[in-house]
Amino acid sequence: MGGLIRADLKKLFKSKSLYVCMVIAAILGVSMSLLYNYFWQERGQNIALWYALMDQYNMKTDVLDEALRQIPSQNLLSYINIFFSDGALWLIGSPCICAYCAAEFNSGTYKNTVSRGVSKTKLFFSKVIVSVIEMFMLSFVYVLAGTLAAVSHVDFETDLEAGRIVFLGVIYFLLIIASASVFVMLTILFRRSGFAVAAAIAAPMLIASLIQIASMANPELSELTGYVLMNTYVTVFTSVNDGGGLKELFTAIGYTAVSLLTGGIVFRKSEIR
Amino acid sequence: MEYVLKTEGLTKIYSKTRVVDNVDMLIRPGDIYGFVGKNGAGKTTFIRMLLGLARITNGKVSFFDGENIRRARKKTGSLVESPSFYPNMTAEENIRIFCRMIGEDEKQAKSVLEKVGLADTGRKKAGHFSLGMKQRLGLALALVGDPEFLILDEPINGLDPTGIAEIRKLILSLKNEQGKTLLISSHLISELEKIATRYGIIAKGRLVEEITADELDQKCGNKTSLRTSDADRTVEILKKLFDSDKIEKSADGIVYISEKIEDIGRITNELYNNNITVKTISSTDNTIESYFIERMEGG
Repeated sequence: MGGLIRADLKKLFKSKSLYVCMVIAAILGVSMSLLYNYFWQERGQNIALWYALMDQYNMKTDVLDEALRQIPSQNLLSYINIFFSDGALWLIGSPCICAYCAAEFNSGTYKNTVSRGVSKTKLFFSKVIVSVIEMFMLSFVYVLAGTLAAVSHVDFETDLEAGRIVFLGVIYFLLIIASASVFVMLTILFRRSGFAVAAAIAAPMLIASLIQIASMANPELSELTGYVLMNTYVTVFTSVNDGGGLKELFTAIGYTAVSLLTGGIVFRKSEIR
Repeated sequence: MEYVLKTEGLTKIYSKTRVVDNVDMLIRPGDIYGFVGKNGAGKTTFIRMLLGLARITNGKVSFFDGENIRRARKKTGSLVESPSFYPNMTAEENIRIFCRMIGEDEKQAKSVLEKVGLADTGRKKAGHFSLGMKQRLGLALALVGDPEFLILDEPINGLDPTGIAEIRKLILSLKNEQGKTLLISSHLISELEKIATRYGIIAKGRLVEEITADELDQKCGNKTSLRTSDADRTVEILKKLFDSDKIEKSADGIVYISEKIEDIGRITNELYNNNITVKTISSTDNTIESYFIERMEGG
């Protein structure tokens, strides 16, 4: 297994797509950072305008005060939340990982290893581990580039206690593993990066739409949108901030387990071409 | 060791079509087994089942007198259909990474490449190789780990005449100097003829005949047939001119000579001098190729 992972890592670092994706991740990180800073400043000006208007017409400001209190301040954590919740990581990760995993199908190299008695399960898990590493690398570059761009205008202080920050980190960690597992599973199912990427991007939207349609008949079903993996990236920060986060934690674990199980079984049973 | 490969009733059914049908094959140590069949006869599917690339619908495969299948596959090198490698890596990098994946020593990369004539490809990426070089790289991957048994599916595809001769020499040295056993499928019967010790002919998924190279030699070759006024005396006379076991007489009185006749006049003169009239004389050239084609069609 160690040899397989080392070989897969070498293949990853030899592929140009990794470096292209990392550059795109860095550019996206910086762009997002600058864009959100601009909106933040705009928001500040608007808030000042609202207060001025309310004062002018002698209106009570309690509702606005409460609403603003619930919006996280412009600090490092809120920035990181923005990076994870905007869907950019999903959009960068899916083509990178699907292309990396599909390369083996495209070149037909699985037949070399399988015909030499290498276990398909080991081949699958090696691919998952290296894909998770790739997803972490992309996340790191994306967040780091964005954070560096934001250093000048971000307050590093936070009122979130250390334990919650660690918990938030753990959930993000598991979400990244879950996303990589989903991308690998989709590539194993479709054997082509194009189809896998299309499925990775379309499936969350399709599922969310179906839930919305279903919730017209039964409004309680709308809560299911919280279990769509892409949406979990959006809700996790607020949940942890409010003392929750377990739903997101189990969602990440669930997606990982189902993807590994499905991908592993399908690959084991499939014929190698 | 009694056998290197044994299949019993090996069958593959794809959507109700029997692509490989109940194949029993036995390959003994030191054999170069030529596996012959038309396109779509089931050769590659059969090989893919041996290597665990395709699921077996029915039947059994065993290697090396029934050794554990995973261990046996570690000792089996293969080149199936087109060669597969990482196009963005050099030949040496491809061999090294393959060694790493199957748990073999990476140091053998250079010697393996030397064997197939790819030692001096340097930094050239495998994706930029010519067809022949790609084929050699596929062969090199098959040779990694010094396997006891080699399964080569069309190993000389895309090679130029010099390349074909080199690979033939390599295959023969693998058998003669290293005692390897090989299963080679090829459309190029004339090439197989130069190396194979046994043949298996597959038609419509069924193994229609297994034959040794010696048996094949006896069945093929030039044959001259004569219809004369006295068949029995013709046989007597011809036995004086040729090796007696090369002369046969059929039930309907045709006399056959199983040898290439350089001088037909010598036969007719001898028969004429013995007052025998030659009614018809014809020569047929039953080559190995035509023998195989006949069997492959007749399956």
